[in-house]
Amino acid sequence: MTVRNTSIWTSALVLGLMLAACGGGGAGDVTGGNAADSLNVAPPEHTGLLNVGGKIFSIPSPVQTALLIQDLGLPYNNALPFSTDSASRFTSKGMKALALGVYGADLAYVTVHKDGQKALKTLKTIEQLSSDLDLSHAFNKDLLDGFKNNMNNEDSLLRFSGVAFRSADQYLKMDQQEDVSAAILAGGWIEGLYLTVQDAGQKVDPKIVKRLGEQGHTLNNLIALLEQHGNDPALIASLKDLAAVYSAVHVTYTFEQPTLDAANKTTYINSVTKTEVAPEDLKTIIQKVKAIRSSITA
Amino acid sequence: MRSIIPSLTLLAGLFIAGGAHAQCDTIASLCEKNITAEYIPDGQFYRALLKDDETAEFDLTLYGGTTYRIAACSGTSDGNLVFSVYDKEHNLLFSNKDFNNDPYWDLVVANTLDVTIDAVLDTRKSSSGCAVLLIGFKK
Repeated sequence: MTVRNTSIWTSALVLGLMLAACGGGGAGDVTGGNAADSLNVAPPEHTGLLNVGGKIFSIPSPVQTALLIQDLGLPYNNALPFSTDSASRFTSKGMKALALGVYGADLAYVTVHKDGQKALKTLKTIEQLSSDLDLSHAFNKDLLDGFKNNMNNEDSLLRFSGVAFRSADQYLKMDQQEDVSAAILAGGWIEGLYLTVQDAGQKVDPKIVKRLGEQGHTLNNLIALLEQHGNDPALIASLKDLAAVYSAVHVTYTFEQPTLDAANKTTYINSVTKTEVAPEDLKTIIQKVKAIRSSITA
Repeated sequence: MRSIIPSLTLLAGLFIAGGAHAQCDTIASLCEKNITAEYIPDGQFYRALLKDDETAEFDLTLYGGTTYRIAACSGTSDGNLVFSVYDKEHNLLFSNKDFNNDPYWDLVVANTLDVTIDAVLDTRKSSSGCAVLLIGFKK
């Protein structure tokens, strides 16, 4: 074997891996919310398959935000979720992905408030958007039927939804459509915050202030995720603008020794985090969240 | 012949990559069983392809007042993946290494905190493979 031959073989092997890592079924560029779809060929070091040892970011589920709203006993406002009649306005892959995240958060909101009719309408819109994004396997007729058959069981509905979104996320990541995955997460995160703050008047519940203040790390993760996958620069810029306000949020963390319950495979994390948000910063955060949501749904 | 060899190697490359995808899917299916019915999946799928002592770092925020189930899997049997949870000051909060690399563990979180979860293969059992992390939560 000559060096030259080795080089050819190596090149072919690397090319093969790169082609496979790019996915065959529709890696779409989500760059630019209004841009037409285009092929996004990532260099090998940026493909999910070869993402070894790198940081992997998690964004909290919007279901948790919906549960907080429910726990606080905030009144249900059925006008808050984005209209299910408006889904057709989302034309590019990036916009559809953001909208899918928005409707996912709305689905959690209407579900925890037991608005079955709205939940089914939202789910049908999700089904349509997911079909456009080649995610029909995750949001299929079985899911709709399962939803209908469990309308009185909120926990089952939330679990159905969580399983479907995880299945979609798995498909997107394995198909190297990480940009679409990141856009869905961004839509869900923004909508979750929007639902939390929309009815906030002059006096905001301290638990909402706390939850808003706790978003700084997630926001930075979301920005990193969107940048990593080349998502819409305008969206990233607006999130960075929001992150700048978060730099004034005062967070103090005190480590406390966890408590272990090995028999029940459970660890109690006792550390204490205190978050202080100045009233003027809170007002700015709420305004910016609403503005970002408007830019997504406009 | 010379022109055939690179083509075959190209196909081999495609096959290997496709195999890695299939491996992650299979592991995910097995790992899902650890997020039992009382937990709501967080809607995300986390995975990394690891070899030797490489570490995948998962960065997340855990909300106070919530019980999380963390499931971490690699290979088709339990115990191949070591995962450790650290706070932002790198204090160790939990590691399954102390519990035979148990594939899942619950974290009851009193106050919201930012954590990283490091996942590394147990090199005594596996030298390479797909590492899958799944998260569920309950009120």
